[in-house]
Amino acid sequence: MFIQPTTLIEALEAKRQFGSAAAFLAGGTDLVVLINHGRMPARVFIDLSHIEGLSQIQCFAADQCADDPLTRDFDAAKVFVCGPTTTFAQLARLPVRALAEAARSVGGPQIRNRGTIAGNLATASPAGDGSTALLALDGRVEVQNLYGSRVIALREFFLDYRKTALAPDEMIVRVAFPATWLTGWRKLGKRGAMNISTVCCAVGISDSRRVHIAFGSVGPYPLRAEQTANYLTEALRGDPAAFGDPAVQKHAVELAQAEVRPIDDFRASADYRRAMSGTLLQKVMRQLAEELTPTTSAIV
Amino acid sequence: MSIVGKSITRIDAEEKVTGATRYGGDLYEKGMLHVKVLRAEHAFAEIVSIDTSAALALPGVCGVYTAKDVGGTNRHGLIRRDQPVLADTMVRYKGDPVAIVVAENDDVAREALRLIQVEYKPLKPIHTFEEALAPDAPKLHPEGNLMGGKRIRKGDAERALREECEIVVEDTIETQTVDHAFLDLESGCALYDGDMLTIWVSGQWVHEERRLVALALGLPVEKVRIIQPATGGAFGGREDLSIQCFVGLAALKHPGHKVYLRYSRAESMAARHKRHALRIHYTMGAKRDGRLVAAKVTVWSDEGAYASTGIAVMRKASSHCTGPYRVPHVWADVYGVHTNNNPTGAMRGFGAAQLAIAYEGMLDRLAQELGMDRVEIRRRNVLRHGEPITTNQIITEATAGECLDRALLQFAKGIDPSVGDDLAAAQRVWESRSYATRAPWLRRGYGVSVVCFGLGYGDAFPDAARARVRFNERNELEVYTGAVEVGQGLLTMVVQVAAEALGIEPERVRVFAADTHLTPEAGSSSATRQTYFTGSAVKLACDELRERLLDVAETYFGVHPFEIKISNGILTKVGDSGKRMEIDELLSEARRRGVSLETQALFKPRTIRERDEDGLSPRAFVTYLFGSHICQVLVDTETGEVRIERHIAAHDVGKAINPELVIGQIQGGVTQGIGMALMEEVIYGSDGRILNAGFTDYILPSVRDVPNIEAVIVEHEDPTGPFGAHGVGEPPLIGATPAVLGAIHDAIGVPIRRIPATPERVWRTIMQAKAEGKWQDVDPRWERDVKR
Repeated sequence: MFIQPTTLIEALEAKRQFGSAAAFLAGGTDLVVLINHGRMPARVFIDLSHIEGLSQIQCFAADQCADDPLTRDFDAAKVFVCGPTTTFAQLARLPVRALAEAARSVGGPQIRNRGTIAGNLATASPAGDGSTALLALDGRVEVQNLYGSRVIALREFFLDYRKTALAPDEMIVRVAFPATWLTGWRKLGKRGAMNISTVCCAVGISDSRRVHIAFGSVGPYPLRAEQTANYLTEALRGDPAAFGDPAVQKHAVELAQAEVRPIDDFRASADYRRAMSGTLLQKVMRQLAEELTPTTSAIV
Repeated sequence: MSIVGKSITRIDAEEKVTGATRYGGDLYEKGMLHVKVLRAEHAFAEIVSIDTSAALALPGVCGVYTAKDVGGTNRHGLIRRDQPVLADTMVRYKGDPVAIVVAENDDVAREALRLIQVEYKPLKPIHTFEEALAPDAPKLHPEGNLMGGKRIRKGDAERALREECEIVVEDTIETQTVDHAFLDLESGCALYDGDMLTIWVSGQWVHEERRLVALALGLPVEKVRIIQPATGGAFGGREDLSIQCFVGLAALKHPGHKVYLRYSRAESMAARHKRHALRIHYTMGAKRDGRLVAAKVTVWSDEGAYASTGIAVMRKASSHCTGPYRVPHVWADVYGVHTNNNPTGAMRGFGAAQLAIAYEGMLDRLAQELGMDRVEIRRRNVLRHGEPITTNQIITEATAGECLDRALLQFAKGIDPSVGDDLAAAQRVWESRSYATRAPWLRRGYGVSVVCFGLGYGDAFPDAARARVRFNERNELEVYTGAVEVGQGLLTMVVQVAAEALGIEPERVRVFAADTHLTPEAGSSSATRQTYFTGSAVKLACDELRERLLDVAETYFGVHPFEIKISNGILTKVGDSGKRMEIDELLSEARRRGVSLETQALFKPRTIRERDEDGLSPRAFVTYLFGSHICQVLVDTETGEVRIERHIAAHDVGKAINPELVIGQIQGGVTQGIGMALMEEVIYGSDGRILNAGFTDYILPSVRDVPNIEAVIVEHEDPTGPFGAHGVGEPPLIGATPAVLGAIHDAIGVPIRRIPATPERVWRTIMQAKAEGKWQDVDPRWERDVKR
């Protein structure tokens, strides 16, 4: 069945009615591929394209954020809030480097014009580039059902392989992430475009210099590397040039390699993915070192 | 020449750009019956029974057919007829077809496939050479799992390696299974009108497809008509039959109904033959000055489940095993081994591509051991005019060295445009090439390849093309050729050759191609042969017509025919532009005199079989093509990622009939060669299923992976080809792969032994070099050039 609501309430009513048998259809870059492969992902499709205003991006200053649980306490001077069907093409233009670069690395132009931020989160692919970048930004989602809404931190959103904290009657209605953090991104795949991550790494550094790290394709879902992040937060507090320090890099690489949980498959071996998790982190650290202490020589 | 050598717009450009072109998949019309194919559940099993009753009972199903419904031999195959149309006693790979369903719509056909009950007795599938040749291995075919072999015995390689060589390098190189990945999926339709079976499906040789279909389905050959729809790429992947027998059988069973079949990408990849994966053990010996003395080569070839063109691929591999180099002593053994992988057959490069990776890789190893430059070692060894190639055929015009020079000039011009055509200056630019990069873990490398390719089928296989030409009532020249346009530009080539030969405007030429009932046989669009073969046949036929016209014109001009010039449809006397005659006028006059304006020609040059005992032949191939590539890469040694910064490809094409199309062929071939070097690989699961049967995981190069390919056209006219042309199709791929791999070797100091050189493989190679103490964290060349 194909339902084409024109209001959010109608969409939520349909989802309430059909529950997990229904799927929200936004860009269709996952669902339509599955359909084409003869694997019908749902019985009911709820098309979101006729609901106004779901792909807006807004930017709020910290003082405008205090009353909204989605946006408050981000440790950022400004916060972006995106509608669920904000496309990768839109994200690619944002001044948040990790997210913009991740968005630019997804698919080709057609896919980036169709694929959406909420779709990327809800499909919960371990290789989700957008999800990985948002995790390193410590992003949040607001999810809503007919009766109300709640905010979920992305670090608690991914539960298992292709499994999220979304209830069957809920829809992601807003996505929030900091606009002013210093971020970095590096992706490794098998070619230069239309590239599925073999490993990807995103790093976010909050306005007060707390470090967040996330990896894609090295676990059942995009992972945060908390211990590595804690170590680097401490290191950065002790020395603003820590990211350029080879000893700090080496230790961070080792920590990250211990935190990731890669598997062997025909795309790459677990060994390689583990090794590359560290390597990519090191590369991002080199990038960021330059910006943290602009005197360091930049070689990436 | 006024038309040959010009980049006229290809004659199918407008219809292709506007989307008007109808490929096989576009032939669907409402009301056609749908055909679907049931494929094997196991890679290797005996078929115990097939029960189609439940499928037949499904409403909307018109018929379900198995081997027993096939009227003829139920076998096809280009060399050995060993491949069943529908499996009868056994399935030998996962793509083996077992039954077809004919139904009113696609969904019903799909559902019916699920209702067919096949009982199998599974056997342990064989996927490796070792498994296939184990003494107790089950046999895929009665003759056993060793499909065949090929050898070269020239001089005494073993003695020379022992006694004459001052340096010997030895290694094992493994190449991968590659898919053709053409965009236009196998699709088309068929109709049986009670008398004639007509099939509209793209192949590469309509007349051979007609013979194979007639035999397999049990029809007289004249009762089968094959018409080629527009075709989007072939690359050898349409040489074996694909869906012709399925739609043919369905049509025979449902006379008066058009039947239609279209593969998905997954089915196309699961069903089709592939490029042979080879294991090549190569020993190369030389003198200290770099002169090659001997080569000993043992090749194991994964032939998959059926023979396909495997025997011919083995011949091409052996006959090209030392490339364009002078090697007095050659010993080669090539073995083809059946496995339960997909059958392997023709693909652009046809065995010569894999061997080029080996001989070029070995030359790079030799150069490294000798501390010699990789251009220099090639210069010392490339054939000169009049020297014998691997199989002892004398190459009268050996232009490999010239191609290398031209590639080097192009390389140098990119760095210093003032080099111009000064080879010595180019050599200096090459020698001072920079290894400086932004960081020590980013390493640059430069690869060089020189390759050769014997054009046509060779080895005494009958190789011929015919063409018929006639002026019609509107004074247009109609050209009839059985050759197929697969996207390469064949139709445009035919127009240019015909127009040039007759001195008429290209707009006046109409080409009718690839219809077994309208066009004379021209052989396949493969083996880089159609410009040479069909171009020659068209030219011969047009030359004959031209002579007839000149006979008529001579009485008007009152001079000897050789003093009359025809150009752009106008006849003039040489040196006297005052007297002229329009071709229309001449044609009217010819008709009045009863001169026939129709003729046909045959081009059939002879080759001589390679002797069984030593593989040698004075003329294994009609002619040889040469080319040389230079590739510049940047390797991230931390991740194993490779970026191609420059790629130069110089090819001697004899004469470029249409330079733009030649450049297109070079760029396409190089792109495929880059794919083979870096990323393309069919991966089988332990059950024989292809794990990456789709473009999500069968990685083709994207626009970001391919630099602006610098194509250099070398024109050393071949007196045996039309207007001096010979061909270009395959060599650009053959040259590209070894140049890329050579560049990676140069960058990281150790060779990649198994391709494709994915980031993980490159990284592992580096890790191994580190473990073996063959790694320096900072390349001394980097340090030197960064300071410079």
